[in-house]
Amino acid sequence: MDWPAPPYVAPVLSAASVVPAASASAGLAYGSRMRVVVSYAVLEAVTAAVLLLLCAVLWLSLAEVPESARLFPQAILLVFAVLCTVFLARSLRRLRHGRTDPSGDAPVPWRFFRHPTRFGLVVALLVGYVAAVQVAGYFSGTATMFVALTVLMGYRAMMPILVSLAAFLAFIWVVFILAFERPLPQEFFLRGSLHVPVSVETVHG
Amino acid sequence: MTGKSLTAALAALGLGAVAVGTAVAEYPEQPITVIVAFSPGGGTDVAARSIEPYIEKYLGADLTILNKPGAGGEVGFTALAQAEPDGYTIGFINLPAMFAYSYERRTEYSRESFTPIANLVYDPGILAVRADSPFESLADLIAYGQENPGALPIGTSGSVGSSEHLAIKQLENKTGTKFNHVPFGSTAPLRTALLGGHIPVAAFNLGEATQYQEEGQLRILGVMAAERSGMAADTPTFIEQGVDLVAGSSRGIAGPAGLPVEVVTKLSAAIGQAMDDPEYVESARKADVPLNYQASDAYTAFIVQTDENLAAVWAEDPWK
Amino acid sequence: MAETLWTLFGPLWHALSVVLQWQNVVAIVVGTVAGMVVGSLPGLSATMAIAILIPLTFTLDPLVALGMMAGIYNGAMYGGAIPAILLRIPGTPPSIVTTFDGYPMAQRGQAAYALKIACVSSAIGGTVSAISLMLFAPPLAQVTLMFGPAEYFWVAVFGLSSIAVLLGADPIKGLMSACFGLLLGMVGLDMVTGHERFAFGNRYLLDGLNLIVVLTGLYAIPPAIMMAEDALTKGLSAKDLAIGPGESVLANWRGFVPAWLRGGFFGILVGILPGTGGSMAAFLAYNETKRSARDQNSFGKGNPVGVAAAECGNNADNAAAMIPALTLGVPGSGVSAVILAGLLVHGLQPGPQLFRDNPDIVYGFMIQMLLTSVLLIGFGGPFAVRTFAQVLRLPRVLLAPMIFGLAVVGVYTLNNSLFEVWLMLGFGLVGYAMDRLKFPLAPVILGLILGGMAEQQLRLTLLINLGDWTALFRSPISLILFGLTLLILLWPILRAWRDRARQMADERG
Repeated sequence: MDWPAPPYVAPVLSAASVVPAASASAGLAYGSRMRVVVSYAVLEAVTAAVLLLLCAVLWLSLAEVPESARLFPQAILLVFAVLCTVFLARSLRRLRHGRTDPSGDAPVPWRFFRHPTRFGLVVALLVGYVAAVQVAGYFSGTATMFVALTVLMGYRAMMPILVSLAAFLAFIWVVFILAFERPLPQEFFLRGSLHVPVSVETVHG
Repeated sequence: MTGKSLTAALAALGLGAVAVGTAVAEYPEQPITVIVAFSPGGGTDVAARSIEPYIEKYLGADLTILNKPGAGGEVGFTALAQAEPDGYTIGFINLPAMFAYSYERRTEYSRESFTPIANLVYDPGILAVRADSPFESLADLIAYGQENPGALPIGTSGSVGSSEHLAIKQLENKTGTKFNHVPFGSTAPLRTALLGGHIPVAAFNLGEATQYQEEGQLRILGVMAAERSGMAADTPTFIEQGVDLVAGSSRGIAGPAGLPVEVVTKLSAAIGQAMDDPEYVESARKADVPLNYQASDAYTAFIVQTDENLAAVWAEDPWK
Repeated sequence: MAETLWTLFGPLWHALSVVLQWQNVVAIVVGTVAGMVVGSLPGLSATMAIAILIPLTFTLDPLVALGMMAGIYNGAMYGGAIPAILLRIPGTPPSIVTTFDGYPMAQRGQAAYALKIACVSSAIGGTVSAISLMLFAPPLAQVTLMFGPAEYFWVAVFGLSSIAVLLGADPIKGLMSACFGLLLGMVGLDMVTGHERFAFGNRYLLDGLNLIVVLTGLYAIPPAIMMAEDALTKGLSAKDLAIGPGESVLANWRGFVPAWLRGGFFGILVGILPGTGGSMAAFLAYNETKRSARDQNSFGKGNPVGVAAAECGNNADNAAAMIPALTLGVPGSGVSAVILAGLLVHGLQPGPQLFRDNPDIVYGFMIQMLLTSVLLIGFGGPFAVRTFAQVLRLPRVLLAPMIFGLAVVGVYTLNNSLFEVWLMLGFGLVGYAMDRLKFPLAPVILGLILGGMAEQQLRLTLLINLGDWTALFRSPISLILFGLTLLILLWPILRAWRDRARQMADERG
């Protein structure tokens, strides 16, 4: 992206993202070994802290906005900050009392990710998918994601996979290209040859 | 196949290839993408889709409308400015909004980023009141604005920086009045608020008001045009009433900078023919669309003048 | 007497004969089915479908075009309930409310029953709305005019106060979600001053966040991620999708009447107010039905009446939204805005002259809205179960990539913007986190829809009245809405008082 962000945004946001990333990876590390991951209350507390930080960033971002436009967002941010503080206090209190799970009573193994490794894979695949659509075209990208996702998740029966994929792509083609004539990101092997309705994607996406 | 016929076939193919090669220089021979910087269903989109089949008829090529909404049109205008100047990507541009943005914030385009092709629509601004309003004429309004500065709210159909807003500022400068500008963001809520009596005066465009004046629900106090419009022949202009104010929104077609001259000429001619097509003229009349065709040269002059006016206004009193 | 009846029914009768011509009948059938398909696919919306339809209808007769639009409108409003019930993924924004009770019902094996209820309720809502359009368009249009900025502010606040009913088990988290939604609603250029807020200089955020992008991200992506995580190789069994004994809408109709009444009322009310759409109608109908029900706590856990209220409400918004559109040129909802554009493209300007010069088209369209609502009963319900719902019998692990693919194509084709696809993905991760940390999603959507409206209308009111806050309490409508808002907010406290007083009286006596 080419948009010039105010100077404080980048460092604060990266700091803010390090915390959940750190706790998430800690969770991942735990999860692959133990049954109970980072406890629920700890995550709640961390979330509250991160949200408070976000409130601060957003508050600062309104500095140059004239007063009448600033009033409402700041009021909401204030309420939000108060709620976050209450939330934080509550989860800290729960931690102190030794209750670490969502229901608050009998300790039940709770995990943030239902399956940490698979979650990581799915997210990585999703990010790759959107990038692939941008670079290689919608149909190519979707086909790749489809096969990759199902195979990586352990479903290996290729026939059902390919049949569903073909049916799905056919359906999309009929609805979007045939019926609605909507331009989709162009397939990489079609670019430059035909002038089919193509999205005018600038470098800035 | 015998050797002789094979050679003949190959020769024919070769000749054909050469023929195709020279024919490539003929424009247009592929579908043309038309960027509309607003969502489907909006005013510009409707205008584009109405004239599309007529332009296709006279140009002899398929047009595909590509909606690229965002930032009040800035996203679409930027996309147009950055497209390949091969004549296969053109777009609708809306003035003065497009240039207003370039002064308000940093845009990726400027006046030099475009090749004007033709203007289609010019909708002059108006000031309107409800039919039962105490303001019978523009003079009444001005008198009130002079005696009660800042007290009378005037609603505009755009937001801050729109052509109506700037027009009101100019009105204030020229008549020594002061009004209370209330931006509604779009015409429909403004017109409803006016009809419902929630706001006394509204500034929007002529094409959006004539039907209501004919039905007797609204009274247009003045039209901000150089001369009376065919759509509202009985309504005086601002100039006639003593205020030299001309403002309005225009919708035209342009291409990215550097478009070849032949392409511009062809497109401009086709658009002109489309706009002369009696069927199209009739449907535009029924839809109250104020057509105003300007070929590329006149349009270029118009664009330059609009931009310079805006620059002058911004330098004197930045509206944001 | 006979004459007034004739002026009223004459044009309708004549239009009916036109509507029943074979090409128009085909149009409404095709439209309804297409609408159901579009509505049932997350990321696709009726607005987009109709917008795309407009140029294709150039060469068609206006009534054929309008018939298809009517079909898509009503069909999509019902179609959104299908994935909402089966997958907890709303197919259209209003179907969020259908997920509250529809999905729990599906989990209990009552999916087919929920679909049938949704279908019949949608049909009833749409029919009532179409009748209001046919008979009461002019007077209802006058009601629209009575609403100015101050009144709209209170409408938005009233809508927001219904969040109180949606807070669920943990009010703190519910309110935090609501704040999040309100903040999201403020992203972009401020209308009144023209300055940007929360956009960080990004040109693509200047127009604000698109509801479909946020909705698809928060609601469609997390369930799909979880499906992939669980990597189940099984789908639903045929048994899960069958209709069980005692699950008949006809037999249980008495229980649904309160929901249908409220759905129709709020749908029509919200419809005639421009700027509010089916989502708000669904929320209001649901909340009011829940509040006045005896077994309030069963709502949100699979109470069929909840599904009925939601679906009836959102379909009742449809035709009513065309009332201000046809009479004043002001669309009552997003979809009606595009239909209005379709009319304009055919050279039909809204307003009194439309009724005078083209009665066949206007009244024909109204009849088409009615007929397409009725058609829902034929195509929804069992038909939907036999076709759409069968998709669910696929292994979950195959459904997940399909949902991802649909979400991407649906969001992309909205505005041809890959930025919005990335945005949706971001919201998908946020939605996942919210779901795991037990933050409710519905208040976010309500805040997003109504927050911006409340703020803008408040500032417009203050601008017009030069900062005079009493302007908010001047008109009777404002006061009524204000009173209702207070009532909703204080209701839990009042009820607790009343229960305590009753308890004390019991103890004494």
